[in-house]
Amino acid sequence: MTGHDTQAMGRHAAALSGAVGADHVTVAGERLTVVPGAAGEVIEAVRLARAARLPIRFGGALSTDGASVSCDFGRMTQMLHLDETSLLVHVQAGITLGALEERLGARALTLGAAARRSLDRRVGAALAAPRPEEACPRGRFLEACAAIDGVLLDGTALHTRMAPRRATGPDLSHALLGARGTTGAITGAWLRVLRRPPVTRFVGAAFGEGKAAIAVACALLDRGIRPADLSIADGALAAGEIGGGALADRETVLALRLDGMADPVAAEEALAVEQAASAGGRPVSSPLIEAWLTSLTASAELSRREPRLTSRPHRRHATFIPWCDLAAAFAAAGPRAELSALTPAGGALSSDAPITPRPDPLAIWRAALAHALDEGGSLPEPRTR
Amino acid sequence: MMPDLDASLTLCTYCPKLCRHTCPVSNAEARETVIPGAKMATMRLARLGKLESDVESTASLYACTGCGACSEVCLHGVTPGRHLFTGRADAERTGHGHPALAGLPDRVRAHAEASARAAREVVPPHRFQPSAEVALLPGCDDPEATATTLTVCDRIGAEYVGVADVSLGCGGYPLLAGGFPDAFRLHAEALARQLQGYSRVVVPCPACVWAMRVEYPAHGVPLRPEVLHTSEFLAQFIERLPVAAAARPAAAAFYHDPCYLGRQLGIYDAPRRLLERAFPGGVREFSRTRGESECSGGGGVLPLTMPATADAITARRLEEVHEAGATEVITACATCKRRLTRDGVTARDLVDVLAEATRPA
Amino acid sequence: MRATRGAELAPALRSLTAPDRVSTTPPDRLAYARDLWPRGMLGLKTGQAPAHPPDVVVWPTSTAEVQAIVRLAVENRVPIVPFGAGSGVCGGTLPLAGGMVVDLKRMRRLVNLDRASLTATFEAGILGEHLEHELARRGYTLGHFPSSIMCSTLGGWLAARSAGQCSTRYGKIEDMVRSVELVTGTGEVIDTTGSHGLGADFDQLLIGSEGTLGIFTRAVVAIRPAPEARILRGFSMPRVAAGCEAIRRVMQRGLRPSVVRLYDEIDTLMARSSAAKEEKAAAESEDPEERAVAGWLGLLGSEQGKRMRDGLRRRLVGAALGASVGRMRVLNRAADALLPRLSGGCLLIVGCEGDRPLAEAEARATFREIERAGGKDLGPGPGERWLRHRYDVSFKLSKMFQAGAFADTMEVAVSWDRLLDLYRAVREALAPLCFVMAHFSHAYADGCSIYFSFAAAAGDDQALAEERYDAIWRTALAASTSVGATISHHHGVGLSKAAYMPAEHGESMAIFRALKRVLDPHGILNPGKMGL
Repeated sequence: MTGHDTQAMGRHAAALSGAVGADHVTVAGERLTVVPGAAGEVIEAVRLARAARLPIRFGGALSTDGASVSCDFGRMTQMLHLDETSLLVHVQAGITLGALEERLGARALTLGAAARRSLDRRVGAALAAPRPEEACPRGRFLEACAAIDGVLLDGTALHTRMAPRRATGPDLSHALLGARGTTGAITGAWLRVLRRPPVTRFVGAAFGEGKAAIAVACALLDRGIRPADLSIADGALAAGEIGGGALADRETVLALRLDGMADPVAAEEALAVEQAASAGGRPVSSPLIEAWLTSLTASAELSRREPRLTSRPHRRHATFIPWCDLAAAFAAAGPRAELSALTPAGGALSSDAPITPRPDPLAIWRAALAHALDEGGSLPEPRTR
Repeated sequence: MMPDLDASLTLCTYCPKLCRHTCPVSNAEARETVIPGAKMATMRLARLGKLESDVESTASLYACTGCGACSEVCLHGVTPGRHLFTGRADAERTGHGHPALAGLPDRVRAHAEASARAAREVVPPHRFQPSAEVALLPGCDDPEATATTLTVCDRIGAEYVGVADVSLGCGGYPLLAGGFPDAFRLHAEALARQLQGYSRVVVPCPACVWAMRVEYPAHGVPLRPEVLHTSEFLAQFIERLPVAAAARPAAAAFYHDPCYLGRQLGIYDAPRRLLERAFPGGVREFSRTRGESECSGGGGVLPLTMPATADAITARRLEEVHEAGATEVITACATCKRRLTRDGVTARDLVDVLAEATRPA
Repeated sequence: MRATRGAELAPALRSLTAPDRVSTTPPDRLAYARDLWPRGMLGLKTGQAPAHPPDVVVWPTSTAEVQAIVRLAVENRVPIVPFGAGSGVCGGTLPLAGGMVVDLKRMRRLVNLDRASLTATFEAGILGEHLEHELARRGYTLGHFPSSIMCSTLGGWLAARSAGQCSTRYGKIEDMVRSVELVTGTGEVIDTTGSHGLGADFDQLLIGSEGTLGIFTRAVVAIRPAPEARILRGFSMPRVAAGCEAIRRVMQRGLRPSVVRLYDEIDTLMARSSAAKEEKAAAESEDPEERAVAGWLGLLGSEQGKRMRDGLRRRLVGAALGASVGRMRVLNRAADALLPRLSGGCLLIVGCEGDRPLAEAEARATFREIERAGGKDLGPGPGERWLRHRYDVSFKLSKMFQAGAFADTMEVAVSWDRLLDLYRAVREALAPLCFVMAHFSHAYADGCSIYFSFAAAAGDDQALAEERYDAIWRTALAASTSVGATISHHHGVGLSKAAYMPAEHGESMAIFRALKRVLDPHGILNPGKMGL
């Protein structure tokens, strides 16, 4: 115990119940869980944690041992505003990407390909703890965030100004984006959304060697095409998930989803087919590619509607690899390796083999920023820089 | 229309630094004080009487090779190089000339006389003609070049070309660049007198071609002969040059446009046409070439006033040569040739190449 | 000239760098006491000495030297202003508290070109034109073409979140960066290489800091093969609103044109009249492209209409340069009332580039979308002309000052739903004060920036001119923020907009201040800027 016995936690819960409602505060052992319904209630939780010198975690972003306050965004699932002129949606952090995607779908809008692989995640979680596979050649999901609503660890509520771009200092949203809750909570976000594209095409090619598929993907991005999805499956994965019989033994498959206006999509399709063929790629039929790329979007909701997709094994976590290391990393990744979310910067690599997390060269700076934002709070000061 | 001096100074003072990227001195030094706009602003302040009266304050007026790269991109048509020479003259008049240029008129005169004498040691006496249709003016930086040019003329059937019988082997450009317009005018008058007997004078140094063609008349000194640069003259005989036979390794040598030949006189093609015909394999172009060509660092008497900067400019020009693994640069200016011969690179003058090409088997 | 503590550090700086890379001479100090903030340029007329010269200027050649310089400054508590090429228009590099200017331009190497990853590593002091030249001669481009390309550096771009003329395709500088290296206010180095995807995007917390958090020393940027094809086209749009709608549709269709520029009626009039000199020559030209330009100019309509427009243009310019302030409102109103009736319309320049078949397909789809929004195709002429003269407008600045006026630009941005409100609010607010025109040149799917140009007579009294200048900015920014626009899209904040930072960021300034405490705890970096 860290000085917070069950009784103390009970007192904290009672104090918070006044603001949040007794139904939305629970205590289990040393963990106090609050389910706020609005940003103001998040502030109450943050203030309580600060006063009690308890660590606070938001969503599933940060795990702590011992006594803590846990903030669950399950009630903050509102779509606050949809600006169809600017294609911006303002949402609370607790809405899942899948639920939002469905609501947008009713207006012929979409979050875009970068969000497709995480439809079961909450917006706040996807923004606070982005995963490498939450990207597509057009950018990371994170980049869809035009502004955030947040609460700093001292209880300050903030709203970064929504602007398409600006030159008014650092992009302050990034103190919370990707910070895994160490600097505060994301309580809401303005997200850029897209119109549903009028035309979608799927292109696939099979290669004898992984590096040939990677070279084609690289060449296509270099030549300027920006597919909605660009993924590569190694032989084992392709055999299991794409089309067994349609593929020769251990063929690596390159898969593209192209969407947008008819003319550019047709030009991109022709270019992709030509580039793949010139590198010795054998065409793979569009329906197979479509089925595979669509299966990667599996979410809880989708799985309910499309049971066929539940056959896909539990998603493995991916790691980001820059282009210069992609071919080697893919070859070494072991069985059922997949490169997804290829962007001009690199791609997300996953496989059945465990993935060693890369060391973060900036860990100390991130900790220092978190500490500075928590001045007088409970975070320990980073020892060295 | 070209703006006058006052308008030029105002335009440059308010200009948002639109030519700074072209200036060899500011690129070498990376110093805001020596970007063309700042140098012109300094000159404006001096003329407004707002500048401290000391050598330090006028130093930036000397940070210019007169290369004209800035004028090339100026939509106002301002020529800072030329105006700064005037600014130097102002500084000299008020006793704040550059210390390194003290006594320059005497030095230039001595050097010009020595060059004329040096030519007599390498050229047979009978080629010195007091009057002739075409005469070569001995150059000051490369006495050998007079003999070499004569050899080329002989080989291509221009044996009638003589050497000007003069006591001054220089058109006087350094005096103008150094801020000594009076000495320049005296020099020009003396040389103009000595050149009375010729119809055309062929000059090896582009800066002096420019001085004689443009600045002699501007300083009220009429000059009888037409002034041609060596490359212009020789280009008239291009058909008589042998066509290069064996190809060298592709692009073995770079061609460097001398600033005064290219930007100031507009002569870009004559040397290239000669080299294309006579130099096996042709020459390689710098990525900055013709109007965009970068200075070798030799103009504007910069090697006298700011030798380290001049060296840095030269080194910058040679970066691309080193990067390409080349060791040879061909140019058409004795000053450029001298500047660019360093760090494992040999620069040759166009006439050296033509002499080699026309050498009897 | 006053010399303070900074000058005393010169000997130490010389031993840290080199004797010829440190200066305390008055000419050098004066040269670093101004940038291109038009307000500061008002004093040039009389040759007035600038108010804030640095005490010492130093030119490091390596990151290690920058670190050593910063540590020396920390020990002595001497302020540092990082300096690129001094092209900023917000007073961002003015050494308000003296101290030292650290000029980065000797750090200008192309360190690495990675053809496989399509990235290039440059030192931060390289001039934009030189950077693009180094890439171009190797077959690549960064795709970043700010109108200051000849007089701004990579480090300056990063510091101020620069945008180029092809931003719709290639993005702003913050979109092109893969990693940065920065020396903090304690002399430590932050290199963000390898941090991608591991947490907060630290690059985005450093880019835009305008020298207040650190000194950029190098960056890895994404590069692209030089475009194989570039297809440019001009369209005449009936009104600003139709032009904005066309751009919005294009951007929201997921198309990626490289150039999108919509000129409002007055800016169109100015652009066309500056093209008029070419009209005759172009009409007689054998070059079909030139004749196309003539055809475009012919769209000015009847001779009478053309005369009226020319007259209007002359009166507007005259007003800007000399008329009393009182007449300004009348003239701006006259322009508003007359221009739409003169059927001049608004010029929209749009271009697509890249791999030929892709660029052609993209152009077809883009042009079709613009026509659907009411655009009248003017052919390639106007676009080609724009490309040839893309940097020429900057030359007008010195002409304006020479004529006794001052001019400045304000670039603000907002989402599409409020874009026309922004346009109207700023124009109306400024109408009594100055001559104003605008173009829309950086478009996104969710919004767009507006680039307002304004001019007014400077007069003979510098203090009055400064007052007028300040009033214009106060009014314009108030109008801009009243509709929720950001106060800068790509020029930055510096000194001139520092007072508006709290309004811009609200409580989020706490984050900026926290960054300042972490990265520059002694407050030595570019003090007095950005409202910190």
